[in-house]
Amino acid sequence: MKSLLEEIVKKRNCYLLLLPTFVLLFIFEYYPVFSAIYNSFFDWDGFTSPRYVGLNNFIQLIFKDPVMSVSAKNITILTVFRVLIAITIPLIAAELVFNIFNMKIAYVYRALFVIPMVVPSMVNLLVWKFVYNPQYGLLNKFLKIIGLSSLCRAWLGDFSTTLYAILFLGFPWISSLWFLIFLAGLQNISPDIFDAAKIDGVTGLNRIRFIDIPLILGQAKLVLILSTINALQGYVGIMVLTSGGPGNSTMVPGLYLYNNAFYFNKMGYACSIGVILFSILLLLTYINLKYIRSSEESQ
Amino acid sequence: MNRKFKELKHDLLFHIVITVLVFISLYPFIFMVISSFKTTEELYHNFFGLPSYFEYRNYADAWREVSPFFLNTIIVSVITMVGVLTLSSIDAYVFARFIFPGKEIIFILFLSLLMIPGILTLVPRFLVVRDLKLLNTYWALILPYIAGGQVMPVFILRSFFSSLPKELFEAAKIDGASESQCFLKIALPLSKSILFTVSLMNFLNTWNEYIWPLVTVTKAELFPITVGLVVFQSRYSGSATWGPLFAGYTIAALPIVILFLFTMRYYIAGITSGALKA
Amino acid sequence: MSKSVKVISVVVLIFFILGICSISFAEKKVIRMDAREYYPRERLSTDRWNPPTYLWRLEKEYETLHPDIDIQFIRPPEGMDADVWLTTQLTGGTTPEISEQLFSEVNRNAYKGWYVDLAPFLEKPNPYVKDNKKWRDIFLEIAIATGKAPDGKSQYVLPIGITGTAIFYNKDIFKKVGVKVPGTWKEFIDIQAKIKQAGYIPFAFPMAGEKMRANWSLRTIQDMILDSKMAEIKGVKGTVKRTAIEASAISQKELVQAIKKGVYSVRDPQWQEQLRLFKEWSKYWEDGYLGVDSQGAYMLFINGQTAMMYESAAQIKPIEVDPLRKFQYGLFYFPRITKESSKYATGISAAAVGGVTGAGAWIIPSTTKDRGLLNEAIDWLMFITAPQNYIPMANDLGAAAPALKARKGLDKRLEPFVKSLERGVFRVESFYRGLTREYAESFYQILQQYLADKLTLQQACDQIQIEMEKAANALIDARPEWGIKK
Repeated sequence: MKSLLEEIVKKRNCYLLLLPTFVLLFIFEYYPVFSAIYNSFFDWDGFTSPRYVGLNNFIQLIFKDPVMSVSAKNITILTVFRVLIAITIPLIAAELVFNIFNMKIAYVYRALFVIPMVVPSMVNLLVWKFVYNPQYGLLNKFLKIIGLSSLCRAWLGDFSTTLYAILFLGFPWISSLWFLIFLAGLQNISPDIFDAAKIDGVTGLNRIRFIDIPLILGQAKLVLILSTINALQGYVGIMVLTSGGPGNSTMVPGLYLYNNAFYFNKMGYACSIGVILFSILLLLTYINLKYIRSSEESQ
Repeated sequence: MNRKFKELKHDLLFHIVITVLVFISLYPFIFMVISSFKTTEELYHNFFGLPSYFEYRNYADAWREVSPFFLNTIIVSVITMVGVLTLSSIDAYVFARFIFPGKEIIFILFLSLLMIPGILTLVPRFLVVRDLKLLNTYWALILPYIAGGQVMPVFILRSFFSSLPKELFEAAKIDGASESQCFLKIALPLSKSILFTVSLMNFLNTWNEYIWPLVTVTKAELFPITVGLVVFQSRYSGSATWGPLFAGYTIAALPIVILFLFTMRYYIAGITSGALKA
Repeated sequence: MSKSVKVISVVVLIFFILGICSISFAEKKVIRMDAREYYPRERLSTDRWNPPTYLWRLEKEYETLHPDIDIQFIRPPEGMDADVWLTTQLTGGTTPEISEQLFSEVNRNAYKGWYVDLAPFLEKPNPYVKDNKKWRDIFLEIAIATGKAPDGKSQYVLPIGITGTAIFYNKDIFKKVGVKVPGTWKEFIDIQAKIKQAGYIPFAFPMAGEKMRANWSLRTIQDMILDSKMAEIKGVKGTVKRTAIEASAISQKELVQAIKKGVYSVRDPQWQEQLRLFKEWSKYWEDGYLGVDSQGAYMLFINGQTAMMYESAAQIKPIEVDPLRKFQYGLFYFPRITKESSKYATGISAAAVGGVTGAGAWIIPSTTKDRGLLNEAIDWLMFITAPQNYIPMANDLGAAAPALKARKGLDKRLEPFVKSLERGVFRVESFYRGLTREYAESFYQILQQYLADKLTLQQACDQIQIEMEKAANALIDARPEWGIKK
């Protein structure tokens, strides 16, 4: 024990150097987590005194709140869709760029695909809001020009189309981050493997299926986890384009949390939404990690 | 000759498909920039074409509206970036080069930050900032950004510092260098490109923050560009004056795109190496 | 110290100083006023007419009289719900010294201690008005009476902007189609059918996120449909007369009691008539109305694509001076529901929606008192409400008639709205301000789904009933002094 204390004193500079960071982390990250969990058991409007309600918030949310049910349904659809897209389309784009023989042009393409990631996300959202504008927007004007004006509608104002409009945002979904990760994965495959494959006559689609994909499984799993976490929490796009409407058809848990906290002044309720989402994320990450470990062991 | 032709044919298909995909991906922005030069009337009858003359007045109007928001974002992003760089490089160095009691536990604590979703902490963090009386100041934005922005940089930098050969430091120590000199004169210069990447990543993230400023800043003169653009949009979109609207968007997007075109090499290299290791 | 460390410390120091400078060090006393619609600003390329600027002139005059005061004007960011913005300010303690809020919202929140009681100050003389003994004497009684808190003594808001609503119509389209201004609901529906056949959009109605027009419509329709039940809802015998003050006839407490007793219930077929009639009307609205906001509806009207729109007095000046308008316009009041349209109708005229609910409902948040600026804020308010200042300011904006006894120099165009108040205002609140904010949100979502045929009338009503009971219970919890049992 005494030697441990001595060691701590001797290395006190280390702790001192880490101190500023951890003070900040404590105030703005760790403490809020506990505060959120604590507040989720109360009914609180943020300034009058809180009222203890136990598990009531959670029972309400899971069993009796129709808005939460719609949000859960919507976010599931959005997440599944976005994750499936994230692991397929950027991979296809990466394969295309990877297989260009001319290195210089490939570099240019890679740069061009990265540009959408760099454009501020808000500009992207607002431009798409314009695209969907029923009277002046890009989509309807385009449909009119190619003669499909019967398909023109109020994309963000019509119950049957809003959720799909949100899904369609960002077409063709070659999200730059996933694209770069997959491209890097492909570039990391040793050229010897490709030479060996060519000799064995494994080319084209076969090569992609039997060589490329198994070797970038690590990247694919990374993209899977990251895109799931991202999609489950997302709501900025919906907030800017539809505010969850019309009639809650695009409501998602993140936005519902925001509304409860800052619009209805139900801080406790909002925290419980956060706790539920947090638990789901933890569960998914745990499943993911376990799955990865076991499949790596089997390799 | 035959093989070269085959290669070209093979490549050509890819080129075409990629070009189409790139075009579709970038089209909304291309449209935005082109339209920003048209007058509103011209947009009505010449929707898809090129502008017949360049209406610079759109940019004058948009600049007047958008520039204060711009300035706010730049101030906040730069200060945050400096803060994150300073703290995370020190932390990463400590984790990489020293051994002290509880090091593993502290590092795992650090990593656990990755598990904390922004959604969970939004409300309590707002309450913390409110109780600290920091609402409606730059600090309400900067301090939490620095706190949250530490994780990835520390992670990436730590693995980089660990990979530096120990002999370098031992040699310097023999020559009488102190630990801080090792840090400043050896570790930092060698990690220039990684530091660069990390700063860029952080800068871009701060630039894109929307919910947090929306919640903590209600004085219009302190709005960053994300919130300001929505306000700007509601006014111009409502009266259907699209020209200045798109000019505003272009102004908001252009500087970062240009910054990136110059620094892209580092960014791509950083992501591909750092992200993989994670 | 090595050079790089020096550089870094200088840089950090600079940023630190920049940060501190963001906290303003003012020598003068700063009165920040959320002037809302009166917010003075430069004309922009998006403006088709001149924005209000009169407050700048008043600011200059005042600061010459009081060199130690600095008046600054702010307003909530556009695109943001002003009530949400103000609530965030209030809970965060960053409110301006003077702001504006609708009297019903103020009185709903008064018990939270957010506002300064203005009653004692109204008894003091206003130094800027000649021969004035008490400040309250310069206002019309209706303004003082409307702004009184439920306890009858405190006064947390000075609502001095009179406005009203009406249906604006395009005279040229009416002439072309050959229809006349309707007096009853049946006539109203009939002319819309004719207008639609002629190829115009009969009515531009915004049903996107903002709830105003739905609110006005349902308040008016509900007041006519539930006319025969008003006394029962209030829990008294006899009749409930309309007053000149919005929803003053039946208070929130009485509404909650009626809900608890089942007298005011969504399952009541008489109540349901409102939704049926509203939906019947929606057939004649523009396509995609669930995505159109009031600015969009205004544009449809001003461009001559639609024959009618439902707007307030605040739109008189814009319509008058808007260069896009190429037609003659007129106004008519909301049509009367008769037995031809609903078996519950009593034939009573449509209630007015309006009163002292227009631009200019001044409040002083309690934070002003905490900052020690209360007397200064009151003095500024006394200055701008003096008739020689307020009347030109109101004329400059042209959105609401000032509720001042002095009438010299008032804009005549606002008269029809003031007159409409003589019909009496609706007696019981509708979804938007009746219960809780959450109820308003849920009701509106369900309403949108019902209009889009996603829910049948029965399904919509069942859901609304659940929400309404939830809201009533939440209010009972928040107001134990009512003594209502759950």
